[in-house]
Amino acid sequence: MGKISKYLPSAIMSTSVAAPLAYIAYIYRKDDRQKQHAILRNFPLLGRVRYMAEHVGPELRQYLFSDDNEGKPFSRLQYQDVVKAGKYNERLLGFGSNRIFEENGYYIRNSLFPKLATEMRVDNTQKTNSYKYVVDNEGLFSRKEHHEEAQIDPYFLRDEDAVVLGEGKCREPFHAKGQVGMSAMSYGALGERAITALSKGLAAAGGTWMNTGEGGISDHHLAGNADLIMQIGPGLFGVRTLSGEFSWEAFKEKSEMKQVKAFEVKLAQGAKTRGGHLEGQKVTEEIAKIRLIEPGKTVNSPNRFVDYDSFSSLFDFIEELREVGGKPVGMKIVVGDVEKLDEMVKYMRDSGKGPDFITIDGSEGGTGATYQELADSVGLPVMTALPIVDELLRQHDIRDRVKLIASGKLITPDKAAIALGMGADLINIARGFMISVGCIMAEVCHTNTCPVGVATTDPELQSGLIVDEKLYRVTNYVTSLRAGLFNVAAAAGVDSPTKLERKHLAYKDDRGRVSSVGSMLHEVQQAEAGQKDVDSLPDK
Amino acid sequence: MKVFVFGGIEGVGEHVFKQLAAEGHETVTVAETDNRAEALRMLGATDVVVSEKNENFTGGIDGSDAIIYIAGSSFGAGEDQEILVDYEAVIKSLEEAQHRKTERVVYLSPVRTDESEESKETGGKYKAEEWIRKSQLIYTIIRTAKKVSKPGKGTIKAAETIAAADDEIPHEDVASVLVAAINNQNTFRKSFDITEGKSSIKDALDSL
Repeated sequence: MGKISKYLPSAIMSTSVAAPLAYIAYIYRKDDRQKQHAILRNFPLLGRVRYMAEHVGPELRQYLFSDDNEGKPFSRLQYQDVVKAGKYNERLLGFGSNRIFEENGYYIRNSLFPKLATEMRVDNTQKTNSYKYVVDNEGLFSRKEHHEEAQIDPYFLRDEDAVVLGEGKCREPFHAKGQVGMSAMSYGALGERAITALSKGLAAAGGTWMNTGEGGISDHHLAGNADLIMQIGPGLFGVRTLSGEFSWEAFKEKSEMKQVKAFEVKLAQGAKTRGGHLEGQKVTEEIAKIRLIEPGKTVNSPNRFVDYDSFSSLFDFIEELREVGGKPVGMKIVVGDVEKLDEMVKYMRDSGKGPDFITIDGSEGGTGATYQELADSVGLPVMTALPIVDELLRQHDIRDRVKLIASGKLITPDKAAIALGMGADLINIARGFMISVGCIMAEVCHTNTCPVGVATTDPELQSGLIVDEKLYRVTNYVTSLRAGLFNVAAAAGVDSPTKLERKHLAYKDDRGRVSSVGSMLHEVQQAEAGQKDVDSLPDK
Repeated sequence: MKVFVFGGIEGVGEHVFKQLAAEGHETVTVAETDNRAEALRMLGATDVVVSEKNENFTGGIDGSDAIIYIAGSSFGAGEDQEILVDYEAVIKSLEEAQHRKTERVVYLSPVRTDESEESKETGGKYKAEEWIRKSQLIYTIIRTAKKVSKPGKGTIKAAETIAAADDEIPHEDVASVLVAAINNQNTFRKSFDITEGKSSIKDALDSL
């Protein structure tokens, strides 16, 4: 005992100096001898600062250096708007907007005589029981807040205003009492806890839907009993034979599930006009069972439905899906080739066939994994794509036959309202919902190392995500989005967000001049016609 | 039973309509616009008189067996917003009820259990209560703690006076008390306070 107490202090002292020194010497030598990085060979140890700074750059910019309007894909403020709606079910702000009004962008034309709250065609008959945070005291280093029960207004559409998919065309049309739902997110891309929280939160909110993503229907999607739209991608996951053919038997089984309200055939995704790749090690027994593939084996899915390469074959497939399933069938597209779309709409008009809804994903849409060239430059953004499709359908007089769902960074009520005004009937949101279950925009969705356990299947990382806390944030986020849509509608002078039209929108350019939304298609068609003229010029 | 509901616009009122409908009562009420009338019917109101400036609405009282009067909320007033109550309007409406032989009145007072004397006098909030107590009506006057939008618990505390400052009570529970009081003879010609508590609503009202 005596010896230990005598020598221990000096032993600790000497090791605490010697050990770090030895480590530093080791690193120095290692840097000096490696052949990969010139900077480390020339500046051993010191050169590491560069890599550290580069690595934590996004976080530093996000938290310290970028201003509130900077940051992509979502600015700090947009991110906070989503988080606050989820936590506090409230969206009030003080002092004024932080939008940069000198820039060009869309605005909502407010009426001189807005609608009163009592004039709005809202249905708040059924209340939603949720939980929200209430701030007790906000200090510099800590915020004191508590979680409490709340009975909130759901902001449903009235029954007569509900948006109906497949009305008069299938045995079981889908009535949406709200205009905002969850865009396609597969189990596997998101972990079971995130999917479960989303399913439960959306079910509690009601009047919304959950798109399963092309990875099939997992038990986690079913956990909360939310209304599901099952997506069918070129990989045919969940509706295939083991050898990769479409299985009508498996499809029939899915269509008989009461939670499944509609099907969506996915032709493309904004950020990812490419096929999928699922590494064999990620194909667990569970994933294999859901997707109907072999466990442990790598699966590559094509970037197009192999069997369908024309409108007639694709629409015949859609007709059969509707006939066999009895539920609405839609398709998800990215707008690029307007001439081809015109051909499609004409074919829809002439044949009487076609989808019950078209989901238009803007090129700004998100994904768990893609390539830069596809994410940044392939396909048109939603605010251009949507009015083009809307106009094409009107031009050929079949707008009433099909509903339009828009997606692409529409995570706040104002953006969603603008899309509704441009012709969308419904709005799909993915990343907004990810943020509501805890996403901090670390942008590592493709690596399975999501630090907040949202876009990962790693059980350890997921243990940080508490389903019973996050589900209410989902409920609050979607109901406050709907409340926001009613707010915008009232300001625009209409009694329901379903009545927002192009005339309620204005586009202001960077010189302050205002134009209306409407001429999109005309200009694109002219440009395409011009292009054709150039192509047909005789060679010199 | 046919119940006439005054002021059933937000918070407590919405639950009152739903609960009356659930218990099989007929409900009559007044709405400012057709749109509000539709919303009230969705909540379960059986007969809605549309009256633009709250005129000619008293006709609806005819043939009603009881009245629930929710004071303190008005058209366009925000949820949880305690506004000044036009006590003269309350008195006028209830005089009309008395005249039309509808004697049973459950009155939800805008005066809060923990309200200061000074605040009670603002706009004469308390005066309607005094008038009712002196009238021939078979009244029940209820004051509540702070009303909040939280899910109802089905349990309360009721007593002649409760003065707990931080108490609150969900709208849903206040509505349950109003509906339960209509036929509960133990609440006849009584004024009492309610707040959150552990007794079932029936027990709490029976033991007053």
